[in-house]
Amino acid sequence: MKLSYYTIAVDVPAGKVLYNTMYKNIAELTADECGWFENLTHNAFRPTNQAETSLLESLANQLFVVEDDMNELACFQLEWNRSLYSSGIVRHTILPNLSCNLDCPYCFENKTGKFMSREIELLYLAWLEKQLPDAKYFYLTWYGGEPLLSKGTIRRLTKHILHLKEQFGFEYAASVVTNGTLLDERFTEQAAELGIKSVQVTLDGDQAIHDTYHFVKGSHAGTFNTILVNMAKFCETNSSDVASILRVNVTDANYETIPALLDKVPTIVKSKCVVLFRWVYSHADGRNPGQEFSSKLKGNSPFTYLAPLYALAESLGFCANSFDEGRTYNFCECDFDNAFLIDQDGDLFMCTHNMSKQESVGNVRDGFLSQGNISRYARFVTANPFDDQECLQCNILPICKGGCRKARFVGKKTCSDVKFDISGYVLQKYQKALSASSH
Amino acid sequence: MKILQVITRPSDVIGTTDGQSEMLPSGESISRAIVMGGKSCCGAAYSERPQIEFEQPSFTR
Repeated sequence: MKLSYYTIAVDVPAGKVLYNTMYKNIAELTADECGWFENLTHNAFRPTNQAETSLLESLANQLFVVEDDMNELACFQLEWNRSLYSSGIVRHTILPNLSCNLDCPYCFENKTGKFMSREIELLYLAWLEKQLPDAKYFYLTWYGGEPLLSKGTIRRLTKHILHLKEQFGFEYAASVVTNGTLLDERFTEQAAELGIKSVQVTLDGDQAIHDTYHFVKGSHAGTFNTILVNMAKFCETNSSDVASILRVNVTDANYETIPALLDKVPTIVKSKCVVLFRWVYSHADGRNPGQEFSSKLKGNSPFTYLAPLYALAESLGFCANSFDEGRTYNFCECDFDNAFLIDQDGDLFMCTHNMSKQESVGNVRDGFLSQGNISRYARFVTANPFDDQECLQCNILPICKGGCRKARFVGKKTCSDVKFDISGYVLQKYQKALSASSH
Repeated sequence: MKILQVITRPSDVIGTTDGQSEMLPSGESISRAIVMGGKSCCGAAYSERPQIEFEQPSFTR
Protein backbone atom coordinates (compact mmCIF):
# COMPACT_ATOMS: atom_id res chain seq x y z
CA MET A 1 0.00 0.00 0.00
CA LYS A 2 1.04 3.64 -0.42
CA LEU A 3 -0.24 7.01 0.61
CA SER A 4 -2.48 8.49 -2.05
CA TYR A 5 -0.58 11.27 -3.81
CA TYR A 6 -3.64 13.46 -3.22
CA THR A 7 -4.02 12.90 0.52
CA ILE A 8 -3.28 16.04 2.52
CA ALA A 9 -2.92 15.97 6.33
CA VAL A 10 -3.49 19.15 8.32
CA ASP A 11 -3.09 19.48 12.09
CA VAL A 12 -6.25 20.25 14.08
CA PRO A 13 -6.83 20.34 17.86
CA ALA A 14 -8.24 16.77 17.82
CA GLY A 15 -5.21 15.41 15.96
CA LYS A 16 -5.13 15.56 12.18
CA VAL A 17 -7.66 15.96 9.42
CA LEU A 18 -7.09 13.94 6.25
CA TYR A 19 -8.48 15.33 3.01
CA ASN A 20 -8.05 13.79 -0.39
CA THR A 21 -8.21 16.24 -3.27
CA MET A 22 -9.08 13.53 -5.80
CA TYR A 23 -11.62 11.44 -3.93
CA LYS A 24 -12.86 14.34 -1.71
CA ASN A 25 -13.09 12.07 1.34
CA ILE A 26 -12.48 13.61 4.77
CA ALA A 27 -11.56 11.93 8.07
CA GLU A 28 -10.26 12.97 11.45
CA LEU A 29 -7.47 11.17 13.31
CA THR A 30 -7.15 11.23 17.09
CA ALA A 31 -3.77 11.88 18.70
CA ASP A 32 -3.20 8.11 19.09
CA GLU A 33 -4.15 7.49 15.48
CA CYS A 34 -1.77 10.22 14.38
CA GLY A 35 1.06 8.22 15.96
CA TRP A 36 -0.01 5.02 14.20
CA PHE A 37 -0.39 6.96 10.96
CA GLU A 38 3.17 8.28 11.29
CA ASN A 39 4.45 4.74 11.94
CA LEU A 40 2.62 3.42 8.90
CA THR A 41 4.02 6.21 6.75
CA HIS A 42 7.57 5.47 7.91
CA ASN A 43 7.18 1.69 7.46
CA ALA A 44 5.86 1.77 3.87
CA PHE A 45 2.37 1.00 5.19
CA ARG A 46 3.36 -2.34 6.68
CA PRO A 47 1.56 -2.42 10.06
CA THR A 48 3.43 -3.62 13.14
CA ASN A 49 0.47 -4.13 15.47
CA GLN A 50 -3.28 -4.63 15.47
CA ALA A 51 -4.05 -0.92 15.92
CA GLU A 52 -2.04 -0.04 12.83
CA THR A 53 -3.63 -2.89 10.88
CA SER A 54 -7.07 -1.63 11.75
CA LEU A 55 -6.20 1.97 10.89
CA LEU A 56 -4.66 0.91 7.57
CA GLU A 57 -7.85 -0.91 6.65
CA SER A 58 -9.88 2.23 7.37
CA LEU A 59 -7.45 4.41 5.44
CA ALA A 60 -7.67 2.09 2.44
CA ASN A 61 -11.47 1.93 2.57
CA GLN A 62 -11.56 5.74 2.35
CA LEU A 63 -8.83 5.87 -0.34
CA PHE A 64 -6.39 7.89 1.74
CA VAL A 65 -4.11 4.92 1.09
CA VAL A 66 -4.14 3.05 -2.21
CA GLU A 67 -2.63 -0.10 -3.61
CA ASP A 68 0.97 0.02 -4.80
CA ASP A 69 0.07 -0.43 -8.45
CA MET A 70 -2.69 2.18 -8.43
CA ASN A 71 -2.03 4.91 -11.04
CA GLU A 72 -4.18 7.71 -9.70
CA LEU A 73 -3.17 10.22 -12.33
CA ALA A 74 -4.22 7.87 -15.12
CA CYS A 75 -7.62 7.38 -13.46
CA PHE A 76 -8.08 11.12 -13.07
CA GLN A 77 -7.03 11.72 -16.67
CA LEU A 78 -9.57 9.15 -17.88
CA GLU A 79 -12.45 10.79 -16.00
CA TRP A 80 -11.28 14.27 -17.02
CA ASN A 81 -11.33 13.23 -20.67
CA ARG A 82 -14.71 11.56 -20.30
CA SER A 83 -16.10 14.80 -18.91
CA LEU A 84 -14.49 16.92 -21.62
CA TYR A 85 -15.59 14.79 -24.54
CA SER A 86 -18.83 13.57 -22.95
CA SER A 87 -20.39 12.30 -26.16
CA GLY A 88 -24.05 12.91 -26.62
CA ILE A 89 -24.11 16.20 -24.69
CA VAL A 90 -24.57 19.52 -26.47
CA ARG A 91 -24.05 22.65 -24.38
CA HIS A 92 -24.90 26.09 -25.66
CA THR A 93 -24.81 29.47 -23.98
CA ILE A 94 -26.91 32.00 -25.85
CA LEU A 95 -26.54 35.76 -25.60
CA PRO A 96 -29.88 36.96 -26.98
CA ASN A 97 -28.54 40.47 -26.49
CA LEU A 98 -25.45 42.33 -25.43
CA SER A 99 -27.44 44.97 -23.61
CA CYS A 100 -28.39 45.53 -19.97
CA ASN A 101 -30.81 47.55 -17.89
CA LEU A 102 -28.17 47.89 -15.17
CA ASP A 103 -24.81 49.64 -15.21
CA CYS A 104 -22.56 47.72 -12.80
CA PRO A 105 -19.14 49.40 -12.61
CA TYR A 106 -17.21 46.12 -12.59
CA CYS A 107 -18.92 44.56 -15.63
CA PHE A 108 -16.34 42.87 -17.87
CA GLU A 109 -18.47 42.97 -21.02
CA ASN A 110 -18.35 45.58 -23.75
CA LYS A 111 -22.08 46.21 -24.17
CA THR A 112 -23.07 47.00 -27.75
CA GLY A 113 -26.80 47.29 -27.06
CA LYS A 114 -27.52 44.85 -29.87
CA PHE A 115 -30.26 42.19 -29.81
CA MET A 116 -30.61 38.90 -31.68
CA SER A 117 -32.75 39.30 -34.80
CA ARG A 118 -35.45 36.88 -35.99
CA GLU A 119 -33.16 35.95 -38.87
CA ILE A 120 -30.37 34.94 -36.49
CA GLU A 121 -32.84 33.00 -34.35
CA LEU A 122 -33.80 30.90 -37.38
CA LEU A 123 -30.19 30.45 -38.45
CA TYR A 124 -29.33 29.35 -34.92
CA LEU A 125 -32.11 26.76 -34.91
CA ALA A 126 -30.98 25.37 -38.26
CA TRP A 127 -27.38 25.15 -36.98
CA LEU A 128 -28.55 23.55 -33.73
CA GLU A 129 -30.69 20.95 -35.47
CA LYS A 130 -27.66 19.49 -37.23
CA GLN A 131 -26.08 18.73 -33.84
CA LEU A 132 -29.04 17.01 -32.27
CA PRO A 133 -29.66 13.65 -34.01
CA ASP A 134 -27.10 11.92 -31.78
CA ALA A 135 -27.61 14.05 -28.67
CA LYS A 136 -28.82 12.54 -25.42
CA TYR A 137 -28.77 15.84 -23.55
CA PHE A 138 -29.03 19.46 -24.62
CA TYR A 139 -28.10 21.96 -21.90
CA LEU A 140 -28.78 25.61 -22.68
CA THR A 141 -27.86 28.66 -20.64
CA TRP A 142 -29.52 32.01 -21.33
CA TYR A 143 -26.84 34.62 -20.74
CA GLY A 144 -26.17 38.16 -21.82
CA GLY A 145 -26.10 41.07 -21.53
CA GLU A 146 -29.31 40.62 -19.64
CA PRO A 147 -31.19 37.69 -21.17
CA LEU A 148 -34.55 38.68 -19.69
CA LEU A 149 -34.55 41.77 -21.90
CA SER A 150 -35.13 39.19 -24.65
CA LYS A 151 -38.03 37.15 -23.31
CA GLY A 152 -39.55 36.96 -26.79
CA THR A 153 -36.40 35.33 -28.16
CA ILE A 154 -36.31 32.92 -25.23
CA ARG A 155 -39.93 31.90 -25.81
CA ARG A 156 -39.59 31.55 -29.58
CA LEU A 157 -36.36 29.55 -29.47
CA THR A 158 -37.60 27.34 -26.64
CA LYS A 159 -40.81 26.53 -28.50
CA HIS A 160 -38.79 25.27 -31.46
CA ILE A 161 -36.26 23.47 -29.25
CA LEU A 162 -39.09 21.58 -27.56
CA HIS A 163 -40.29 20.46 -31.01
CA LEU A 164 -36.75 19.24 -31.72
CA LYS A 165 -36.77 17.46 -28.37
CA GLU A 166 -39.88 15.55 -29.44
CA GLN A 167 -38.31 14.77 -32.81
CA PHE A 168 -34.92 13.57 -31.55
CA GLY A 169 -35.70 12.45 -28.00
CA PHE A 170 -32.93 14.22 -26.11
CA GLU A 171 -33.29 15.50 -22.55
CA TYR A 172 -33.49 19.29 -22.40
CA ALA A 173 -32.61 21.52 -19.46
CA ALA A 174 -32.05 25.26 -19.42
CA SER A 175 -30.69 27.76 -16.94
CA VAL A 176 -30.71 31.55 -16.84
CA VAL A 177 -27.93 33.82 -15.64
CA THR A 178 -29.74 37.06 -14.91
CA ASN A 179 -29.42 40.19 -12.84
CA GLY A 180 -32.82 39.19 -11.42
CA THR A 181 -34.59 42.51 -11.83
CA LEU A 182 -36.71 41.32 -14.77
CA LEU A 183 -37.45 37.89 -13.30
CA ASP A 184 -41.08 38.88 -12.93
CA GLU A 185 -44.04 36.80 -11.84
CA ARG A 186 -45.22 35.99 -15.36
CA PHE A 187 -41.82 34.74 -16.47
CA THR A 188 -41.34 32.82 -13.24
CA GLU A 189 -44.65 31.05 -13.78
CA GLN A 190 -43.62 30.13 -17.34
CA ALA A 191 -40.15 28.90 -16.36
CA ALA A 192 -41.07 25.22 -16.11
CA GLU A 193 -42.69 25.12 -19.55
CA LEU A 194 -39.63 26.91 -20.92
CA GLY A 195 -37.48 24.08 -19.56
CA ILE A 196 -35.74 26.42 -17.12
CA LYS A 197 -34.54 24.43 -14.14
CA SER A 198 -32.06 26.81 -12.59
CA VAL A 199 -31.55 30.55 -12.19
CA GLN A 200 -28.36 32.32 -11.19
CA VAL A 201 -28.40 35.79 -9.67
CA THR A 202 -25.66 37.85 -8.07
CA LEU A 203 -25.64 40.03 -4.99
CA ASP A 204 -22.88 42.46 -4.09
CA GLY A 205 -22.97 42.82 -0.30
CA ASP A 206 -25.64 44.32 1.93
CA GLN A 207 -28.28 46.58 0.45
CA ALA A 208 -26.40 49.86 0.85
CA ILE A 209 -23.31 48.76 -1.03
CA HIS A 210 -25.08 46.35 -3.40
CA ASP A 211 -27.16 49.25 -4.67
CA THR A 212 -24.02 51.25 -5.43
CA TYR A 213 -22.76 48.40 -7.65
CA HIS A 214 -25.95 46.89 -9.04
CA PHE A 215 -28.05 49.90 -10.04
CA VAL A 216 -30.46 50.67 -12.86
CA LYS A 217 -28.92 52.43 -15.79
CA GLY A 218 -30.01 56.08 -15.93
CA SER A 219 -32.08 56.27 -12.73
CA HIS A 220 -29.41 54.68 -10.52
CA ALA A 221 -32.26 52.99 -8.60
CA GLY A 222 -31.15 50.17 -6.31
CA THR A 223 -31.95 46.54 -7.11
CA PHE A 224 -31.28 44.62 -3.87
CA ASN A 225 -34.87 44.18 -2.74
CA THR A 226 -36.18 43.47 -6.24
CA ILE A 227 -33.66 40.69 -6.80
CA LEU A 228 -34.43 38.99 -3.49
CA VAL A 229 -38.20 39.26 -3.93
CA ASN A 230 -38.04 37.92 -7.49
CA MET A 231 -35.68 35.11 -6.56
CA ALA A 232 -37.87 34.10 -3.61
CA LYS A 233 -40.88 33.96 -5.94
CA PHE A 234 -38.96 31.84 -8.43
CA CYS A 235 -37.88 29.42 -5.70
CA GLU A 236 -41.42 29.19 -4.30
CA THR A 237 -43.02 28.64 -7.70
CA ASN A 238 -40.61 26.24 -9.34
CA SER A 239 -39.82 22.71 -8.29
CA SER A 240 -36.65 21.49 -9.94
CA ASP A 241 -34.07 18.76 -9.57
CA VAL A 242 -31.31 21.29 -10.22
CA ALA A 243 -30.01 23.80 -7.68
CA SER A 244 -30.27 27.50 -8.43
CA ILE A 245 -27.23 29.62 -7.73
CA LEU A 246 -26.80 32.67 -5.52
CA ARG A 247 -23.49 34.19 -6.45
CA VAL A 248 -21.97 36.78 -4.14
CA ASN A 249 -19.40 39.05 -5.72
CA VAL A 250 -16.72 40.05 -3.22
CA THR A 251 -14.72 43.27 -3.22
CA ASP A 252 -12.50 45.16 -0.81
CA ALA A 253 -15.39 47.54 -0.18
CA ASN A 254 -18.24 45.07 0.38
CA TYR A 255 -16.37 42.31 2.24
CA GLU A 256 -17.37 43.32 5.76
CA THR A 257 -21.02 43.73 4.74
CA ILE A 258 -21.50 40.16 3.52
CA PRO A 259 -22.65 38.85 6.93
CA ALA A 260 -25.45 41.44 6.82
CA LEU A 261 -26.33 40.36 3.29
CA LEU A 262 -26.59 36.69 4.32
CA ASP A 263 -28.98 37.68 7.12
CA LYS A 264 -31.33 39.22 4.55
CA VAL A 265 -31.63 36.23 2.21
CA PRO A 266 -35.14 34.72 2.43
CA THR A 267 -35.39 31.19 3.80
CA ILE A 268 -36.80 29.78 0.57
CA VAL A 269 -33.83 31.16 -1.40
CA LYS A 270 -31.46 29.79 1.21
CA SER A 271 -32.95 26.31 0.85
CA LYS A 272 -33.11 26.18 -2.97
CA CYS A 273 -29.82 27.84 -3.90
CA VAL A 274 -26.18 26.98 -3.57
CA VAL A 275 -24.07 29.96 -2.50
CA LEU A 276 -20.90 30.76 -4.37
CA PHE A 277 -18.42 33.52 -3.44
CA ARG A 278 -16.25 35.07 -6.15
CA TRP A 279 -13.80 37.94 -6.13
CA VAL A 280 -14.40 40.76 -8.59
CA TYR A 281 -11.30 40.94 -10.78
CA SER A 282 -10.10 43.86 -12.81
CA HIS A 283 -10.39 43.51 -16.56
CA ALA A 284 -8.79 44.87 -19.66
CA ASP A 285 -12.23 45.50 -21.20
CA GLY A 286 -15.70 46.31 -19.97
CA ARG A 287 -17.22 49.13 -17.95
CA ASN A 288 -14.07 50.33 -16.15
CA PRO A 289 -10.99 48.77 -17.73
CA GLY A 290 -8.07 48.37 -15.34
CA GLN A 291 -9.96 49.38 -12.20
CA GLU A 292 -9.18 47.21 -9.18
CA PHE A 293 -12.05 46.16 -6.93
CA SER A 294 -10.52 43.49 -4.73
CA SER A 295 -6.74 43.65 -4.95
CA LYS A 296 -6.23 44.54 -1.28
CA LEU A 297 -8.04 41.58 0.28
CA LYS A 298 -7.65 39.08 -2.51
CA GLY A 299 -3.88 39.52 -2.44
CA ASN A 300 -1.81 36.56 -3.53
CA SER A 301 -3.82 34.02 -1.56
CA PRO A 302 -7.37 34.55 -2.82
CA PHE A 303 -9.01 31.69 -0.92
CA THR A 304 -7.79 32.95 2.47
CA TYR A 305 -10.41 35.67 2.73
CA LEU A 306 -13.11 33.58 1.06
CA ALA A 307 -12.80 30.71 3.56
CA PRO A 308 -14.42 32.65 6.45
CA LEU A 309 -17.32 33.57 4.16
CA TYR A 310 -17.95 29.93 3.27
CA ALA A 311 -17.72 28.99 6.96
CA LEU A 312 -20.12 31.75 7.95
CA ALA A 313 -22.61 30.82 5.24
CA GLU A 314 -22.55 27.18 6.32
CA SER A 315 -23.07 28.17 9.95
CA LEU A 316 -26.14 30.16 8.91
CA GLY A 317 -27.70 27.19 7.15
CA PHE A 318 -26.72 27.98 3.56
CA CYS A 319 -25.37 25.28 1.30
CA ALA A 320 -22.13 26.95 0.27
CA ASN A 321 -20.00 25.35 -2.40
CA SER A 322 -16.92 26.61 -4.18
CA PHE A 323 -17.76 24.47 -7.26
CA ASP A 324 -14.60 22.41 -6.85
CA GLU A 325 -15.75 20.07 -4.10
CA GLY A 326 -17.42 17.12 -5.78
CA ARG A 327 -16.75 14.72 -8.61
CA THR A 328 -17.12 17.06 -11.52
CA TYR A 329 -14.16 17.43 -13.84
CA ASN A 330 -14.82 20.75 -15.59
CA PHE A 331 -13.08 23.86 -14.33
CA CYS A 332 -15.80 26.11 -15.70
CA GLU A 333 -18.85 26.17 -17.92
CA CYS A 334 -16.70 26.24 -21.08
CA ASP A 335 -14.66 23.18 -20.24
CA PHE A 336 -16.39 20.81 -22.64
CA ASP A 337 -16.26 19.76 -26.25
CA ASN A 338 -19.42 20.78 -28.14
CA ALA A 339 -19.85 23.78 -25.84
CA PHE A 340 -20.37 27.04 -27.68
CA LEU A 341 -21.40 30.51 -26.76
CA ILE A 342 -23.59 32.09 -29.44
CA ASP A 343 -23.85 35.86 -29.38
CA GLN A 344 -26.65 38.08 -30.62
CA ASP A 345 -25.11 38.17 -34.11
CA GLY A 346 -24.92 34.39 -34.28
CA ASP A 347 -21.14 34.40 -33.88
CA LEU A 348 -19.63 31.42 -32.07
CA PHE A 349 -17.21 31.63 -29.14
CA MET A 350 -15.42 29.11 -26.98
CA CYS A 351 -15.48 31.08 -23.71
CA THR A 352 -17.85 33.47 -21.95
CA HIS A 353 -15.07 35.78 -20.85
CA ASN A 354 -14.89 37.99 -23.86
CA MET A 355 -17.12 38.27 -26.89
CA SER A 356 -14.68 40.38 -28.91
CA LYS A 357 -15.22 39.49 -32.53
CA GLN A 358 -11.57 38.54 -33.03
CA GLU A 359 -12.17 35.67 -30.58
CA SER A 360 -15.05 34.23 -32.63
CA VAL A 361 -14.48 30.85 -34.25
CA GLY A 362 -17.35 31.01 -36.71
CA ASN A 363 -21.06 31.70 -36.90
CA VAL A 364 -24.38 29.91 -37.08
CA ARG A 365 -24.77 30.71 -40.78
CA ASP A 366 -21.52 29.19 -42.01
CA GLY A 367 -20.11 27.15 -39.14
CA PHE A 368 -16.39 27.39 -38.53
CA LEU A 369 -15.81 29.42 -41.71
CA SER A 370 -12.13 28.58 -42.04
CA GLN A 371 -9.55 25.93 -41.32
CA GLY A 372 -7.87 28.45 -39.06
CA ASN A 373 -10.99 28.61 -36.87
CA ILE A 374 -11.31 24.83 -36.83
CA SER A 375 -7.71 24.65 -35.70
CA ARG A 376 -8.24 27.25 -32.95
CA TYR A 377 -11.22 25.31 -31.69
CA ALA A 378 -9.28 22.04 -31.76
CA ARG A 379 -6.33 23.60 -29.92
CA PHE A 380 -8.69 25.14 -27.34
CA VAL A 381 -10.51 21.89 -26.61
CA THR A 382 -7.37 19.78 -26.54
CA ALA A 383 -5.45 22.16 -24.24
CA ASN A 384 -4.87 20.15 -21.08
CA PRO A 385 -2.84 19.98 -17.87
CA PHE A 386 -1.38 16.56 -18.66
CA ASP A 387 1.29 18.09 -20.89
CA ASP A 388 2.38 20.38 -18.06
CA GLN A 389 4.97 19.09 -15.58
CA GLU A 390 3.93 21.56 -12.88
CA CYS A 391 0.33 20.34 -13.08
CA LEU A 392 1.33 16.68 -13.16
CA GLN A 393 3.25 17.13 -9.92
CA CYS A 394 0.57 19.24 -8.22
CA ASN A 395 -1.50 17.47 -5.57
CA ILE A 396 -4.43 19.83 -6.02
CA LEU A 397 -4.82 19.12 -9.74
CA PRO A 398 -8.16 17.35 -9.03
CA ILE A 399 -9.41 20.56 -7.42
CA CYS A 400 -8.31 22.99 -10.13
CA LYS A 401 -8.77 20.46 -12.97
CA GLY A 402 -6.18 22.30 -15.01
CA GLY A 403 -7.61 25.74 -14.39
CA CYS A 404 -8.90 28.26 -16.89
CA ARG A 405 -8.81 26.73 -20.36
CA LYS A 406 -8.62 30.10 -22.07
CA ALA A 407 -5.66 31.15 -19.93
CA ARG A 408 -3.84 27.94 -20.81
CA PHE A 409 -4.81 28.33 -24.47
CA VAL A 410 -3.29 31.83 -24.68
CA GLY A 411 -0.19 30.84 -22.70
CA LYS A 412 -1.12 32.57 -19.44
CA LYS A 413 -1.87 29.59 -17.20
CA THR A 414 -3.12 30.60 -13.77
CA CYS A 415 -3.13 28.34 -10.74
CA SER A 416 -6.16 27.81 -8.50
CA ASP A 417 -6.88 30.18 -5.63
CA VAL A 418 -6.63 27.10 -3.42
CA LYS A 419 -2.96 26.45 -4.22
CA PHE A 420 -1.90 29.43 -2.17
CA ASP A 421 -3.78 28.34 0.96
CA ILE A 422 -4.28 24.59 0.84
CA SER A 423 -4.42 24.27 4.64
CA GLY A 424 -7.13 26.92 4.80
CA TYR A 425 -9.06 25.10 2.09
CA VAL A 426 -8.80 21.74 3.88
CA LEU A 427 -9.83 23.27 7.20
CA GLN A 428 -12.86 24.91 5.59
CA LYS A 429 -13.97 21.58 4.07
CA TYR A 430 -13.31 19.90 7.45
CA GLN A 431 -15.49 22.40 9.30
CA LYS A 432 -18.21 21.99 6.69
CA ALA A 433 -18.09 18.19 6.99
CA LEU A 434 -18.07 18.40 10.80
CA SER A 435 -21.12 20.61 10.69
CA ALA A 436 -22.92 18.28 8.25
CA SER A 437 -22.10 15.19 10.31
CA SER A 438 -23.50 16.77 13.47
CA HIS A 439 -26.92 17.41 11.87
CA MET B 1 -10.61 7.23 12.58
CA LYS B 2 -13.71 9.39 12.38
CA ILE B 3 -15.05 9.46 8.85
CA LEU B 4 -16.61 12.84 8.12
CA GLN B 5 -17.24 12.76 4.39
CA VAL B 6 -17.31 9.94 1.82
CA ILE B 7 -17.62 11.10 -1.76
CA THR B 8 -15.69 8.27 -3.42
CA ARG B 9 -15.51 4.61 -2.44
CA PRO B 10 -12.82 2.23 -3.77
CA SER B 11 -15.35 0.74 -6.19
CA ASP B 12 -16.24 4.20 -7.55
CA VAL B 13 -12.83 5.56 -8.52
CA ILE B 14 -13.75 5.60 -12.19
CA GLY B 15 -16.92 5.33 -14.18
CA THR B 16 -19.59 6.47 -11.76
CA THR B 17 -19.70 10.21 -12.35
CA ASP B 18 -23.39 10.77 -12.76
CA GLY B 19 -23.61 14.49 -12.03
CA GLN B 20 -25.63 13.82 -8.92
CA SER B 21 -22.96 13.63 -6.24
CA GLU B 22 -23.54 17.00 -4.61
CA MET B 23 -27.04 17.88 -3.52
CA LEU B 24 -28.82 20.57 -1.58
CA PRO B 25 -30.51 19.25 1.58
CA SER B 26 -33.82 19.70 -0.24
CA GLY B 27 -32.69 17.39 -3.05
CA GLU B 28 -31.67 19.68 -5.92
CA SER B 29 -28.42 18.70 -7.59
CA ILE B 30 -25.49 21.11 -7.36
CA SER B 31 -23.35 18.90 -9.59
CA ARG B 32 -25.96 19.04 -12.33
CA ALA B 33 -26.08 22.83 -12.07
CA ILE B 34 -22.31 22.82 -12.59
CA VAL B 35 -22.26 20.49 -15.58
CA MET B 36 -25.27 22.25 -17.13
CA GLY B 37 -23.21 25.42 -17.27
CA GLY B 38 -23.40 27.22 -13.92
CA LYS B 39 -21.42 30.38 -14.40
CA SER B 40 -18.79 30.07 -11.71
CA CYS B 41 -16.34 32.05 -13.80
CA CYS B 42 -17.98 35.13 -15.34
CA GLY B 43 -14.61 36.84 -15.43
CA ALA B 44 -13.36 35.49 -12.11
CA ALA B 45 -10.67 33.22 -13.53
CA TYR B 46 -9.04 34.78 -16.57
CA SER B 47 -7.20 37.62 -14.92
CA GLU B 48 -3.82 38.82 -13.74
CA ARG B 49 -3.14 38.69 -10.01
CA PRO B 50 -1.43 41.27 -7.79
CA GLN B 51 1.03 40.21 -5.08
CA ILE B 52 -0.06 41.56 -1.69
CA GLU B 53 0.43 40.05 1.78
CA PHE B 54 -2.30 40.07 4.48
CA GLU B 55 -3.66 38.19 7.47
CA GLN B 56 -6.80 36.04 7.47
CA PRO B 57 -9.85 37.52 9.18
CA SER B 58 -12.54 35.68 11.07
CA PHE B 59 -16.21 36.39 11.60
CA THR B 60 -17.55 35.83 15.09
CA ARG B 61 -21.28 35.64 15.51
